[in-house]
Amino acid sequence: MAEVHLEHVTKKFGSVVAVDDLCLTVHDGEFLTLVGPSGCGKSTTLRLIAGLERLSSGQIYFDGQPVGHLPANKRDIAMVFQSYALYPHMSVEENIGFALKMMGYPRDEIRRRVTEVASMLNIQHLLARRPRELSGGQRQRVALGRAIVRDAGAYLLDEPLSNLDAQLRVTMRGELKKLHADLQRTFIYVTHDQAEAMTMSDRVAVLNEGKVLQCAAPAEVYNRPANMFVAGFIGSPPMNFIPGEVQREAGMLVFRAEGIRQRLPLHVALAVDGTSVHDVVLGVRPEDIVVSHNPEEGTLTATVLVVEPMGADTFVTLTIGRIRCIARVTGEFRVGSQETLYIRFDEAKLHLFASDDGRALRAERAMVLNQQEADLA
Amino acid sequence: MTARVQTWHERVSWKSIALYACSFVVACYLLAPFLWLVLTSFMTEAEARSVPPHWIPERPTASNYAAFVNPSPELRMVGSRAIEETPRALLNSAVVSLSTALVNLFIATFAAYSFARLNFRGGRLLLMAYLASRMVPGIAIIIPFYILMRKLQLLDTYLALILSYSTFTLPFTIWMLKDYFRTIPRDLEDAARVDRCGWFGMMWRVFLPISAPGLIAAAVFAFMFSWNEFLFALFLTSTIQSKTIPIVVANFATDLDVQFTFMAAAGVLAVIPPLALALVFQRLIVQGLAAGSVKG
Repeated sequence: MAEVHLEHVTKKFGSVVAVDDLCLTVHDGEFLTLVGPSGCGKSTTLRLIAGLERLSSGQIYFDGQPVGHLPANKRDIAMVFQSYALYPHMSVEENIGFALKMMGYPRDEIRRRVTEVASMLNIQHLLARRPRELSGGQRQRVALGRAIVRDAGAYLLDEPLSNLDAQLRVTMRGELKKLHADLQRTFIYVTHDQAEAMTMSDRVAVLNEGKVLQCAAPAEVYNRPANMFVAGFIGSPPMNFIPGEVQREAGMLVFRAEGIRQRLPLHVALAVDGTSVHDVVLGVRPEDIVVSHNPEEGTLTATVLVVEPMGADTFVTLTIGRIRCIARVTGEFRVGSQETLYIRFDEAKLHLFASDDGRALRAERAMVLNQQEADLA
Repeated sequence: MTARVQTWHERVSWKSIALYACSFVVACYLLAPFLWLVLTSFMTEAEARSVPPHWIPERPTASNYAAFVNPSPELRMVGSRAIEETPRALLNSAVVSLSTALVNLFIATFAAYSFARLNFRGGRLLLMAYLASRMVPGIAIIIPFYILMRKLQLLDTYLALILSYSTFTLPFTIWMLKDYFRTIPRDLEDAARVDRCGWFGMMWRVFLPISAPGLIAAAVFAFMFSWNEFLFALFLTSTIQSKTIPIVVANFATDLDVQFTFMAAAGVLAVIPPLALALVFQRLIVQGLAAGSVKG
């Protein structure tokens, strides 16, 4: 097992900066997911850790030892590729045992370990087959087996579930999580699928344009996104963004946009108060929009554009004047297109972002608690 | 619904009849000379020269083949000792062709891998230069080659032939393998490196075994070229120490006479090795060429 530390890591391909001064620590035994859109540098970061790409600058440490100069075959890592990269001329048994063979393990020990891993992954009946004789899911298991058969310091997984169908992907997500719990090794996982990132990881690092925008526990990333990009990327349907401005009315801060007046909650107001921030973007998660068929005090009038029943939930696309947003309601909520609904935002869960750089405007928890105590006193 | 039995003219369309007919004509056109060669090799010289000529030997004989194994003193002199020299010429051809194929594989593997995987300055230009060199007709460079080999004291040696054949075959082999290597996913190389292989280990244990169809196709082509080559062998060899089979077969047609039946028998013997190679590796050759041309 190993702690992997990336220090000011940069990778350039010609004039294109794929990874930009990235600093990140993956703790021993942790399951960390690098998530981001295509081209954000997540796979390049993984390949840099693996030693499959050379660093342009910076350093990578495994357990405090610099490894940036070492080629892939000298680093203590195992990797699962998106394409699985199974050796087509070898049987499943030979594929899984290949690295051990290269490391000079005795034949009996290789066979013992391969059998153990195969039974763990439930592929013991496939050992004599060639990769072309396997289904996608079976190939994926073999690729996984080829990695976990080794006692590697870190296990790198590059979008290993992306080639599977949706149902199998959900099953494998659970199995991977269980595997990590059983093995207790360092897993670094790359995906563009935020659902995978949220469900499996101890921590999630959201990347864009080669930079880590936020690295925290999944719940933290979801509930307290560091900026608009993270807020928009994590969550499905994505967070609603409503551009507007902050105004002071009757001694309190309010957010105003066309047809919307929203009092700012304490955790946001404290961050804005006393600053020159004026133009902002209000962020509301779809599930934080409370909808009703009847008007109440403080509700906004909205017209239903589209209704998308998903089973347990229903996504309702609404317009409030010219502003469009999506609300998530329970599957039992009955509503039709063009109907009028009355909505309000769950104040405690509102997000506010500066419109110039997209940073989240949110006071620290301690500051909020202090203010609440002062108000009570 | 009930299934209706199709009549023969419903199953066989005019289009397929026309296609089969055309294929048959082309096959006859291609195979007739070879069939004539094989049949003539089982005739006596008198029958082969009979007028009007006929295809099927009236009294088939294997004496033309037996002569190569144990020629009588008078047969030894036929065709400037061609009968006597045929077995050794076959051996020379095999040595030269196999060596050329191996030289091709060794050099072209490294070169093609570089062109397929590494982006280096002038790479494209170099590839074009290889292709251009393939366009130069052999007759244009035979004199410089002859002088070069004489200076190197390589005339009438295997090495002279292997070097000159490699010059002609390598550009094609490199192009072919470069295209083939590009079809092999990079992830396989990366996986091997992660699995503790150095570059040579990765090549030996993963890359080259996967490339086997391409490598075999390239080697067979280099072999075929060397086996059939005539012009350079004519200039660079002078004794049976290095003479190859095309030169010796040509000797059957001397200024004085032409020995059709011996020439035909020697021709059949000369065809067997490349034919066997093509049959054995047929599937791999097609696979190798298709991967290079279609996917590359």
